[in-house]
Amino acid sequence: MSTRPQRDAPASTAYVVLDANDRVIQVGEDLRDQLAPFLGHVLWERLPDAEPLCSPGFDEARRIGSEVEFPLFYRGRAKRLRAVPAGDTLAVHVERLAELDVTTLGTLKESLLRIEAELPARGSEQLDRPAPASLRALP
Amino acid sequence: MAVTVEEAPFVVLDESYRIVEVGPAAEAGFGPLHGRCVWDCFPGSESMYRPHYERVRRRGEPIELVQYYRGYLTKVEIRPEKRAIRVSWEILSMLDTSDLERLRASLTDAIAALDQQAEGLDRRRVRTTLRVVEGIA
Repeated sequence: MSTRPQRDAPASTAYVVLDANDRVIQVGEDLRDQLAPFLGHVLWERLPDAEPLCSPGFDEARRIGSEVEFPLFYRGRAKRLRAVPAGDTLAVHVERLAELDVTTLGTLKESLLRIEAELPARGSEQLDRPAPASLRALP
Repeated sequence: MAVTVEEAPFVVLDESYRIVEVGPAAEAGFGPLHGRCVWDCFPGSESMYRPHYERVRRRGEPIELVQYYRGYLTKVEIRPEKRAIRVSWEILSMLDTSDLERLRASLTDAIAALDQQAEGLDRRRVRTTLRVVEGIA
Protein backbone atom coordinates (compact mmCIF):
# COMPACT_ATOMS: atom_id res chain seq x y z
CA MET A 1 0.00 0.00 0.00
CA SER A 2 1.43 3.38 -0.91
CA THR A 3 0.43 6.92 -0.21
CA ARG A 4 1.05 9.86 -2.44
CA PRO A 5 0.25 13.55 -2.34
CA GLN A 6 -3.15 14.76 -3.53
CA ARG A 7 -3.31 15.33 -7.27
CA ASP A 8 -5.88 15.96 -9.92
CA ALA A 9 -8.05 12.99 -10.83
CA PRO A 10 -6.99 11.24 -14.06
CA ALA A 11 -9.15 11.23 -17.16
CA SER A 12 -10.50 7.72 -16.43
CA THR A 13 -14.09 7.55 -15.33
CA ALA A 14 -13.68 4.14 -13.73
CA TYR A 15 -14.43 5.24 -10.20
CA VAL A 16 -17.00 5.17 -7.44
CA VAL A 17 -17.55 7.75 -4.73
CA LEU A 18 -18.39 6.56 -1.23
CA ASP A 19 -19.77 8.51 1.68
CA ALA A 20 -18.38 8.20 5.19
CA ASN A 21 -20.32 4.94 5.70
CA ASP A 22 -19.08 3.39 2.46
CA ARG A 23 -22.41 4.03 0.79
CA VAL A 24 -22.09 4.41 -2.99
CA ILE A 25 -23.16 7.94 -3.90
CA GLN A 26 -21.69 8.24 -7.38
CA VAL A 27 -20.52 5.85 -10.11
CA GLY A 28 -18.22 6.92 -12.93
CA GLU A 29 -19.25 6.22 -16.49
CA ASP A 30 -16.80 3.36 -17.05
CA LEU A 31 -18.21 1.40 -14.12
CA ARG A 32 -21.90 2.13 -14.60
CA ASP A 33 -22.69 -1.16 -16.33
CA GLN A 34 -21.45 -3.07 -13.30
CA LEU A 35 -22.00 -0.78 -10.36
CA ALA A 36 -24.96 1.47 -11.16
CA PRO A 37 -27.28 -0.88 -9.21
CA PHE A 38 -25.08 -0.29 -6.15
CA LEU A 39 -26.03 3.40 -5.95
CA GLY A 40 -27.49 4.18 -2.56
CA HIS A 41 -26.24 0.92 -1.04
CA VAL A 42 -23.34 0.34 1.29
CA LEU A 43 -20.67 -1.20 -0.93
CA TRP A 44 -20.10 -4.16 1.41
CA GLU A 45 -23.77 -5.12 1.30
CA ARG A 46 -23.26 -5.85 -2.39
CA LEU A 47 -19.66 -7.07 -2.25
CA PRO A 48 -19.23 -8.49 1.25
CA ASP A 49 -16.15 -10.52 0.39
CA ALA A 50 -14.40 -7.39 -0.88
CA GLU A 51 -14.53 -5.60 2.46
CA PRO A 52 -11.50 -7.25 4.09
CA LEU A 53 -9.52 -6.65 0.91
CA CYS A 54 -10.42 -2.98 0.44
CA SER A 55 -11.27 -1.56 3.86
CA PRO A 56 -7.70 -1.28 5.13
CA GLY A 57 -6.74 0.91 2.18
CA PHE A 58 -9.91 2.98 2.38
CA ASP A 59 -9.51 3.47 6.12
CA GLU A 60 -5.89 4.47 5.69
CA ALA A 61 -6.76 7.08 3.06
CA ARG A 62 -9.41 8.59 5.35
CA ARG A 63 -7.09 8.51 8.36
CA ILE A 64 -4.19 10.30 6.72
CA GLY A 65 -6.36 12.50 4.49
CA SER A 66 -4.35 11.63 1.43
CA GLU A 67 -4.72 9.19 -1.43
CA VAL A 68 -3.69 5.58 -1.00
CA GLU A 69 -2.97 3.19 -3.84
CA PHE A 70 -2.97 -0.58 -3.54
CA PRO A 71 -3.19 -3.67 -5.73
CA LEU A 72 -6.11 -6.03 -5.44
CA PHE A 73 -7.03 -9.48 -6.69
CA TYR A 74 -10.77 -9.94 -6.57
CA ARG A 75 -13.15 -12.22 -8.47
CA GLY A 76 -10.53 -13.27 -10.96
CA ARG A 77 -9.21 -9.82 -11.75
CA ALA A 78 -6.10 -7.96 -10.69
CA LYS A 79 -6.75 -4.27 -10.22
CA ARG A 80 -5.05 -1.24 -8.84
CA LEU A 81 -7.25 0.87 -6.57
CA ARG A 82 -6.58 4.49 -5.73
CA ALA A 83 -8.60 5.79 -2.80
CA VAL A 84 -8.78 9.58 -2.76
CA PRO A 85 -10.40 11.27 0.26
CA ALA A 86 -12.26 14.55 -0.22
CA GLY A 87 -14.09 15.86 2.82
CA ASP A 88 -16.52 13.18 3.98
CA THR A 89 -16.32 11.27 0.73
CA LEU A 90 -13.85 8.87 -0.76
CA ALA A 91 -13.34 8.50 -4.50
CA VAL A 92 -12.09 5.06 -5.46
CA HIS A 93 -10.46 4.87 -8.88
CA VAL A 94 -10.16 1.42 -10.42
CA GLU A 95 -7.56 0.40 -12.95
CA ARG A 96 -7.82 -3.07 -14.38
CA LEU A 97 -4.46 -4.79 -14.67
CA ALA A 98 -5.00 -8.40 -15.70
CA GLU A 99 -7.66 -11.06 -15.69
CA LEU A 100 -7.53 -14.70 -14.70
CA ASP A 101 -8.26 -17.00 -17.63
CA VAL A 102 -9.46 -20.31 -16.23
CA THR A 103 -10.21 -21.95 -19.60
CA THR A 104 -7.37 -24.45 -19.55
CA LEU A 105 -4.43 -25.18 -17.28
CA GLY A 106 -2.23 -23.43 -19.81
CA THR A 107 -4.28 -20.23 -19.86
CA LEU A 108 -4.65 -20.39 -16.07
CA LYS A 109 -0.92 -20.63 -15.62
CA GLU A 110 -0.17 -17.85 -18.10
CA SER A 111 -2.75 -15.51 -16.64
CA LEU A 112 -1.52 -16.15 -13.10
CA LEU A 113 1.96 -15.20 -14.23
CA ARG A 114 0.61 -12.01 -15.81
CA ILE A 115 -1.26 -11.18 -12.62
CA GLU A 116 1.78 -11.80 -10.50
CA ALA A 117 3.79 -9.49 -12.75
CA GLU A 118 1.14 -6.80 -12.49
CA LEU A 119 0.71 -6.93 -8.74
CA PRO A 120 3.76 -5.31 -7.20
CA ALA A 121 4.84 -5.13 -3.56
CA ARG A 122 1.95 -6.23 -1.34
CA GLY A 123 0.36 -8.26 -4.09
CA SER A 124 3.52 -10.21 -4.81
CA GLU A 125 3.97 -10.99 -1.14
CA GLN A 126 0.48 -12.44 -1.07
CA LEU A 127 1.15 -14.46 -4.17
CA ASP A 128 4.44 -15.92 -3.00
CA ARG A 129 3.86 -16.66 0.66
CA PRO A 130 2.86 -20.35 0.80
CA ALA A 131 4.06 -21.31 -2.64
CA PRO A 132 5.19 -24.96 -2.61
CA ALA A 133 6.70 -24.65 -6.06
CA SER A 134 9.02 -22.09 -7.53
CA LEU A 135 8.21 -19.92 -10.49
CA ARG A 136 11.55 -21.04 -11.80
CA ALA A 137 9.95 -24.43 -12.37
CA LEU A 138 7.82 -22.93 -15.10
CA PRO A 139 8.91 -23.42 -18.67
CA MET B 1 -41.91 -39.21 0.14
CA ALA B 2 -40.37 -38.62 -3.26
CA VAL B 3 -36.82 -39.68 -3.82
CA THR B 4 -34.77 -38.03 -6.51
CA VAL B 5 -31.89 -39.92 -8.02
CA GLU B 6 -29.54 -37.49 -9.67
CA GLU B 7 -28.04 -38.73 -12.86
CA ALA B 8 -24.58 -37.58 -13.86
CA PRO B 9 -24.62 -34.94 -16.59
CA PHE B 10 -23.97 -36.36 -20.03
CA VAL B 11 -24.07 -35.62 -23.73
CA VAL B 12 -24.03 -37.96 -26.72
CA LEU B 13 -21.97 -36.91 -29.72
CA ASP B 14 -22.33 -38.11 -33.29
CA GLU B 15 -19.38 -38.68 -35.61
CA SER B 16 -19.12 -35.00 -36.47
CA TYR B 17 -19.09 -34.06 -32.79
CA ARG B 18 -22.59 -32.70 -32.88
CA ILE B 19 -24.57 -33.09 -29.67
CA VAL B 20 -27.44 -35.45 -30.42
CA GLU B 21 -28.59 -36.17 -26.86
CA VAL B 22 -28.36 -34.16 -23.66
CA GLY B 23 -28.94 -35.39 -20.15
CA PRO B 24 -31.18 -33.29 -17.91
CA ALA B 25 -28.35 -32.34 -15.58
CA ALA B 26 -26.20 -31.14 -18.50
CA GLU B 27 -29.12 -29.18 -19.92
CA ALA B 28 -29.73 -27.59 -16.54
CA GLY B 29 -26.11 -26.60 -16.22
CA PHE B 30 -25.38 -25.36 -19.73
CA GLY B 31 -28.74 -24.55 -21.30
CA PRO B 32 -29.82 -25.80 -24.73
CA LEU B 33 -27.05 -27.87 -26.30
CA HIS B 34 -28.93 -30.22 -28.62
CA GLY B 35 -27.85 -30.02 -32.25
CA ARG B 36 -24.82 -27.85 -31.62
CA CYS B 37 -21.19 -28.74 -32.24
CA VAL B 38 -19.57 -29.59 -28.94
CA TRP B 39 -16.46 -27.53 -29.77
CA ASP B 40 -18.62 -24.43 -30.28
CA CYS B 41 -20.36 -25.02 -26.97
CA PHE B 42 -17.10 -25.45 -25.08
CA PRO B 43 -14.48 -23.21 -26.72
CA GLY B 44 -10.92 -24.28 -26.24
CA SER B 45 -11.83 -27.83 -25.28
CA GLU B 46 -11.16 -29.55 -28.61
CA SER B 47 -7.45 -30.06 -28.14
CA MET B 48 -8.06 -31.54 -24.69
CA TYR B 49 -10.91 -33.90 -25.53
CA ARG B 50 -10.78 -34.79 -29.20
CA PRO B 51 -7.81 -37.17 -28.90
CA HIS B 52 -9.67 -39.10 -26.19
CA TYR B 53 -12.89 -39.22 -28.19
CA GLU B 54 -11.03 -40.50 -31.21
CA ARG B 55 -9.29 -43.09 -29.09
CA VAL B 56 -12.62 -44.38 -27.79
CA ARG B 57 -14.03 -44.56 -31.33
CA ARG B 58 -10.93 -46.32 -32.58
CA ARG B 59 -10.74 -48.90 -29.82
CA GLY B 60 -14.43 -49.24 -29.06
CA GLU B 61 -13.71 -49.26 -25.33
CA PRO B 62 -14.72 -46.79 -22.62
CA ILE B 63 -12.13 -44.69 -20.88
CA GLU B 64 -12.04 -42.49 -17.79
CA LEU B 65 -9.90 -39.44 -17.34
CA VAL B 66 -9.53 -36.43 -15.12
CA GLN B 67 -9.62 -33.16 -16.95
CA TYR B 68 -9.45 -29.50 -16.05
CA TYR B 69 -11.58 -27.02 -18.01
CA ARG B 70 -12.92 -23.56 -17.21
CA GLY B 71 -12.28 -23.67 -13.51
CA TYR B 72 -13.60 -27.20 -12.97
CA LEU B 73 -11.69 -30.39 -12.35
CA THR B 74 -13.89 -33.21 -13.59
CA LYS B 75 -13.77 -36.96 -13.88
CA VAL B 76 -14.94 -37.74 -17.38
CA GLU B 77 -16.19 -41.06 -18.69
CA ILE B 78 -16.30 -41.57 -22.45
CA ARG B 79 -18.21 -44.59 -23.75
CA PRO B 80 -18.78 -45.78 -27.29
CA GLU B 81 -22.45 -46.12 -28.28
CA LYS B 82 -22.66 -47.65 -31.74
CA ARG B 83 -21.39 -44.84 -33.98
CA ALA B 84 -21.72 -42.20 -31.30
CA ILE B 85 -19.96 -41.59 -28.01
CA ARG B 86 -21.49 -40.79 -24.66
CA VAL B 87 -19.61 -38.37 -22.45
CA SER B 88 -20.56 -38.09 -18.79
CA TRP B 89 -18.78 -36.24 -16.05
CA GLU B 90 -18.56 -35.64 -12.34
CA ILE B 91 -17.22 -32.42 -10.89
CA LEU B 92 -14.39 -33.13 -8.46
CA SER B 93 -13.58 -29.57 -7.52
CA MET B 94 -13.85 -26.04 -8.78
CA LEU B 95 -11.64 -23.00 -8.56
CA ASP B 96 -12.74 -20.13 -6.37
CA THR B 97 -11.35 -16.94 -7.85
CA SER B 98 -12.91 -14.60 -5.27
CA ASP B 99 -9.55 -13.68 -3.82
CA LEU B 100 -6.03 -15.04 -3.63
CA GLU B 101 -6.56 -17.03 -0.44
CA ARG B 102 -9.60 -18.81 -1.83
CA LEU B 103 -7.90 -19.39 -5.15
CA ARG B 104 -4.96 -20.96 -3.41
CA ALA B 105 -7.23 -23.09 -1.20
CA SER B 106 -9.26 -24.28 -4.16
CA LEU B 107 -6.12 -25.24 -6.06
CA THR B 108 -5.07 -27.27 -3.03
CA ASP B 109 -8.51 -28.90 -3.01
CA ALA B 110 -8.17 -29.71 -6.69
CA ILE B 111 -4.89 -31.49 -6.05
CA ALA B 112 -6.43 -33.38 -3.13
CA ALA B 113 -9.36 -34.41 -5.30
CA LEU B 114 -6.94 -35.62 -7.91
CA ASP B 115 -5.12 -37.66 -5.30
CA GLN B 116 -8.35 -39.43 -4.38
CA GLN B 117 -8.90 -40.76 -7.84
CA ALA B 118 -8.17 -44.34 -8.60
CA GLU B 119 -4.80 -45.26 -9.96
CA GLY B 120 -4.77 -45.90 -13.63
CA LEU B 121 -6.24 -42.55 -14.55
CA ASP B 122 -3.96 -40.57 -16.76
CA ARG B 123 -3.31 -37.86 -14.23
CA ARG B 124 0.39 -37.20 -14.07
CA ARG B 125 0.38 -34.26 -16.48
CA VAL B 126 -2.63 -32.55 -14.89
CA ARG B 127 -1.25 -33.06 -11.41
CA THR B 128 2.15 -31.64 -12.21
CA THR B 129 0.67 -28.57 -13.86
CA LEU B 130 -1.73 -27.96 -10.99
CA ARG B 131 1.18 -28.03 -8.56
CA VAL B 132 2.99 -25.43 -10.60
CA VAL B 133 -0.17 -23.32 -10.82
CA GLU B 134 -0.64 -23.58 -7.06
CA GLY B 135 2.90 -22.35 -6.67
CA ILE B 136 2.08 -19.26 -8.68
CA ALA B 137 -1.07 -18.54 -6.70
